[in-house]
Amino acid sequence: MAKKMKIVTVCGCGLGSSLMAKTSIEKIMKEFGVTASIEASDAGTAKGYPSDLVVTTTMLKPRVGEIPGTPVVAVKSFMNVDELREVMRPHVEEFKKKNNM
Amino acid sequence: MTKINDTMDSLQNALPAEQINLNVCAHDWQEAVREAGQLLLKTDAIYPQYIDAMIQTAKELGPYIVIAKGIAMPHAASEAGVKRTALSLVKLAHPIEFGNPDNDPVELVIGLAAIDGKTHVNTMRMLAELIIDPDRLARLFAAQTKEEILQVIAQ
Repeated sequence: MAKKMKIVTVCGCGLGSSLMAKTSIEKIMKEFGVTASIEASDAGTAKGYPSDLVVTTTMLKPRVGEIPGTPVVAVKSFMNVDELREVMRPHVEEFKKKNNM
Repeated sequence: MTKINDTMDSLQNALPAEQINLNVCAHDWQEAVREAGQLLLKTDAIYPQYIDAMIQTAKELGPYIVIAKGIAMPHAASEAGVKRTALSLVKLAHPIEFGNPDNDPVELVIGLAAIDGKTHVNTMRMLAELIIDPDRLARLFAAQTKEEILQVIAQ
C-alpha cells in the first residue's frame, strides 16, 4: 500500500477552520493522487504531532513557529483551494519523490 | 444513542432558522461577534461567558477568525461555556473591518460553539463544502431572507 502523507492543519483552537481545512486539503490530495491522513490541531499542540507537513494561516504562522524537521506552510484562507494547492504542491511533490510515487 | 448523535452532526441541524439573522447593524468587529454570540445564547447553546471568550480568543490570536474573504467564524474553546454544538449566522447590514488584511471586510459572521473536537466534524465538512463552492457561496452572500439561506445550506 502506498505511504500516507501525514498533514496537520492548525487553527487557534483546533475546532473551527482547521477542521474545515481537512475538506479542502482532501480535495487537493485527491488531485495529486496521494493518500493523506489529515489531523486538525491548535497552534500549541501542533508541535507534538509528528507529520510530513503542517498547514496553517498567515495570521497564525508566528504562533506555530518552526517545527524541526517538518515544513510549515501558511495560506491566507483554508477555503481558497487554488492558494492551498500552490502552497502545498512543492511539499507533496517532494513527498512523492521521497517515496518513489 | 451514538447513531442519533451521528445524524445530528449536519449543517442543517447545527444552523436552524432561529440561529440566523439578517441585516444586522454592527459598528465594529466586537459588536458583530456579540451578535453571532447572542443567537447562540438565545437558543441556549452557550452560557453568557462564552461570548466574552469568543472576543478574547480573537484578541489573543488576532483576526485569524476571518476564515475566508468576507467570512468570520468567531469561536472559543469548548470549556469556555458551550452547552451544545451549534452554529449561528449573522449577515451584516454593512461590511466591517476585522483587521485581517487578506479577507476583510466581513459580511458574514458564523458563530461556532463546539462541545468537543469531534461531534461537529461532519457539520464543519458541510460548511467547508459550501464555502469552497463558488456558486453556493455567491448565493449565500446574495441571500436576502432566512429561507434563501436555509436553501443554500440544505443543497
